[in-house]
Amino acid sequence: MKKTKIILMYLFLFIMAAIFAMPMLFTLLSSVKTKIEIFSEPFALPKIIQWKNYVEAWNGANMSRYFINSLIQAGATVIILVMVASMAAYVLSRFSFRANQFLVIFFMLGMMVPMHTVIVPISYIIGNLKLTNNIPALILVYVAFGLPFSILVITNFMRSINRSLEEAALIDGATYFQIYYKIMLPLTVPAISTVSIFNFLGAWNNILFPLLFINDKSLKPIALGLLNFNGERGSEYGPLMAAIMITVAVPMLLYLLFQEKVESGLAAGSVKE
Amino acid sequence: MHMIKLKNNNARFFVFLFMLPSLVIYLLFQILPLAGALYFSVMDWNGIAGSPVTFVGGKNFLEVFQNKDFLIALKNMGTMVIFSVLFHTPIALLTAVVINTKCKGYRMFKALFFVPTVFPLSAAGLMWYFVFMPTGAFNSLLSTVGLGGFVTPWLVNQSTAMNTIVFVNIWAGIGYYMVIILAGLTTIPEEVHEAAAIDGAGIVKKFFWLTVPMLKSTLTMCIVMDIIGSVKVFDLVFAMTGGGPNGLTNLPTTLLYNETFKYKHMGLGSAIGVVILAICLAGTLISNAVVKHKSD
Amino acid sequence: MKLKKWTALALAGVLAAGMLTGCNASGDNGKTESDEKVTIRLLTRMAGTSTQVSIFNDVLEEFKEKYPHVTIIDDSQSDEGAFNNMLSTCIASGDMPHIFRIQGVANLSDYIDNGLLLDVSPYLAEDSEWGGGFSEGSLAYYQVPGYEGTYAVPMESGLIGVYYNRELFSQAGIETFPKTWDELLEAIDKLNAIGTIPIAMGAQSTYMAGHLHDQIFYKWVGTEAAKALGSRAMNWTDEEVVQTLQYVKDLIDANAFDQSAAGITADVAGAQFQQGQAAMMITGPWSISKFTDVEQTPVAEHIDVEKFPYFKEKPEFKLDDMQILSPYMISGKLEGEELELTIELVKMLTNKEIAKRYAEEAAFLIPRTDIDLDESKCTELFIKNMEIGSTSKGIGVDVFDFDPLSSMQDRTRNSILSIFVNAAAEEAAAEIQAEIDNAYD
Repeated sequence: MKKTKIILMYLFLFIMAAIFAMPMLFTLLSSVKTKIEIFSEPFALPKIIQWKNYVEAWNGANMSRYFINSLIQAGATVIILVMVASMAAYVLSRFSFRANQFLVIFFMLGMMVPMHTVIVPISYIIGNLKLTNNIPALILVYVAFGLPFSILVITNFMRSINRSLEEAALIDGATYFQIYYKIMLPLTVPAISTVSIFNFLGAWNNILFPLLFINDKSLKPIALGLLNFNGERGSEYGPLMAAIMITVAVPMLLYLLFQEKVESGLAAGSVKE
Repeated sequence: MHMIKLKNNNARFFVFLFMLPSLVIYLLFQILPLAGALYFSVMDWNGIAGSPVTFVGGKNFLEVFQNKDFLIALKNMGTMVIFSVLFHTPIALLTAVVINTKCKGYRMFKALFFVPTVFPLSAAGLMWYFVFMPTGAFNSLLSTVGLGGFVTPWLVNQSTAMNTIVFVNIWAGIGYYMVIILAGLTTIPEEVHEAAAIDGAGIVKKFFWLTVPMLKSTLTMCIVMDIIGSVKVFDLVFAMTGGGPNGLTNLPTTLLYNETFKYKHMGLGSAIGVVILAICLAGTLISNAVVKHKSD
Repeated sequence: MKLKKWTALALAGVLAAGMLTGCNASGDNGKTESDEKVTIRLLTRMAGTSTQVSIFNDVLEEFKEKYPHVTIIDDSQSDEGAFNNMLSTCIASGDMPHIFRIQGVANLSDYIDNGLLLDVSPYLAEDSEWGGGFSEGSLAYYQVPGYEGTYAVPMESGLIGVYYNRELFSQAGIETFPKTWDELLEAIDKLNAIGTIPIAMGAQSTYMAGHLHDQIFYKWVGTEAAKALGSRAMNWTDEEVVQTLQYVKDLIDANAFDQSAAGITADVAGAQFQQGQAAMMITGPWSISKFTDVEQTPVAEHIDVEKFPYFKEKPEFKLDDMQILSPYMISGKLEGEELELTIELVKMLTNKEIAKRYAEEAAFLIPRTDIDLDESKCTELFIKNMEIGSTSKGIGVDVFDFDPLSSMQDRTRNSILSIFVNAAAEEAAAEIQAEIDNAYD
């Protein structure tokens, strides 16, 4: 490629990089500075690294509690979702019955429903059935909203799996359950991991449903807990920045570890929640 | 492709059993609330348990469209959708093409551009809030480089507030579309590029006359996803301004939340929810039609 | 084979049932026999790191020791938003905590009708040592027109005044704290001249903007007018009411606040005052313990307090003041041992002895007339606040307290905030009035 083209290209990349990195860099730097430093020299390196900001965020502001909550909530969501969706996907991809077409479309419809539309009825249900702070109910709502996408992806993937193994197994007298468990699941691992990561991130990053369900501070997930921290002690910038870093750490790590999975999942024609 | 027919009760039972959990959860936790949303949108309720829930028909919808705050929210949504689409796809396309050249350090750039999309939007919003707040990093930067005249409370100033939030949304979404386009780019076989090069096509020509047309369906999909995605934005506005000051930066989603939880206008809130649903449905259906049409 | 399937089904069913009934519902209104565990749930604003909160927690501990079979769940929130959120959810489900608070008075009738509030008057009468010590005015505040009885136990009171920095004032050449509005405007000019922010204002936390307006309101039209607005004898679009909003705009135009006040939170504004960058701050006795702590407030020794200036055209309202008055409300759905224990806890939190401790250690005032105060233990600032607060003739908390519409809290505050971003006073007034009109069609 010609020289000028290369220079232009790198210029473009660096400008973009600057804009992209700016807030992240600022947050990272500020998370280890004192309050005065944050304001007087926003982009300079700290004189002394204030690790205590992280300690304060983790303990004093309860980020540790929120972190664990998110882990539990997102983790449970994924486990249940994968189980339930893969079961449905197996049936939908392999068995012909009248309701099959209908069910597929029925689940597809769910992808078009935004979470916000159901704010009022869900709060009503929460109120009447006394489901406030009921984490299992919250998880089931996450699962419900994650079903359409997950079933779609896993069903499509299963459809493309070669049936010869299953047919051989059937001839050998295997039950459908055994086929599901011993053949389909292992072969569907790629789709399952994509679905898992997606829904894990979706649950980790969600604040809308936790806002509706959870009052108890000790049960809040991290994305919401962070905002709480800001609401209560919004002028303690150091620990706040540290809290932001903690909040984004897990999604960032997940991405860096599973880069290809995440990216291929997107390309699988997904709709962002 | 043969599917298994349900020949015996064993099979039937199995199908039933395996579909059951999904169906139950889906019905209880998504379909039922959806029906509830439609129900509440034609009712009037003040949010206190035991208070009456009365039927009011289309009154809530009439109110919604006459409500000044809703009209502002709708306008903001329009701004959000238009500018997001306007910037996301082109910039993502450009970035994807550049990264696709696998120049030095491309992996790093790709990761950098993509990482914001996996952040919780509330954290991203908060991050940028500290940059744009009156005493934040951006104003400091402006003052330091001598552009102090531009210092303004970005998130509160009528003319800049919504645009600032849209900017952050754009920032948070580019990586997402970039990756999708990248995947699309890799499906364009090398031979096509080489053939074009032999024919003497310059880079820019190649880009517009070759790359873009081949990516048409991917790009269309991106735009469609962008439109629907922008309608659904909530976390970002909630974290940065809560919809304020006084409803200035509301989107229908945050307005819904505020009307329901702060002002207790449950019927109104539900009606807004149904309107958002209608917009999303319309968007999806139109896009499906467009995609079908294009792929002929 | 079949057995395996049925077991699987049964297992799934049990799991589902178990999950739905949930292990986490902290809204447990446990019915009890005397041996069983009793749970008492609190939802107050007593949370955070201040001294009054630690005293509050001490009382809870004491209670727990006295009644080991009682579990106390304290959901108290210091952030107003989080608190309101939680409260709304409880109200929507009718699942009230045992002890909580609702701001406002006129909208209490809805709650009383739904059985959510306990009438505490029999208990006040029965235990005269405890009940008789509360000031008349504070109890009267929680008596709702149309209903017999008193619906809350007052637990906090005190003047909301203007705290100011004497040092900055003398630097600006202001000798005495402005007594009238005109003098206030002059003082603002002088403070601007020395480059200080005259009044710390974090309007993004809408309550701060609301409190500013409350102060102006009571001095221009008096505290009774708030009741008139609530009973609809007056409208927000009446000339005098619009004038109160106009005065807010006048202050903004006079540069009384930071240019970006609308984008700053109360936290940040408070920090400006505490660091000596702003000369005045409208706040209440809850800030006193912070202001007297040199670590949190480097300029602590310079801080003094005075009443908000009055309008020389309206001397009749000179003693109409804004005061804070906060309640403990008790759920109307309690019975038996639960009810008794809850009442006892409230007594422990508001009796003469604890009031003394609150005042001396935390500059926190419970409106009792029988506090045996050792003034030498209190900070000067607290005593000054009490002194000037005792001369009030008319008392008002927030103007919207008397409005039966619960949405008025946010509506008025947001509309006042809009004045900070260039709305006209008339617009704001019309916006507020529209909320009222819409609710009644």
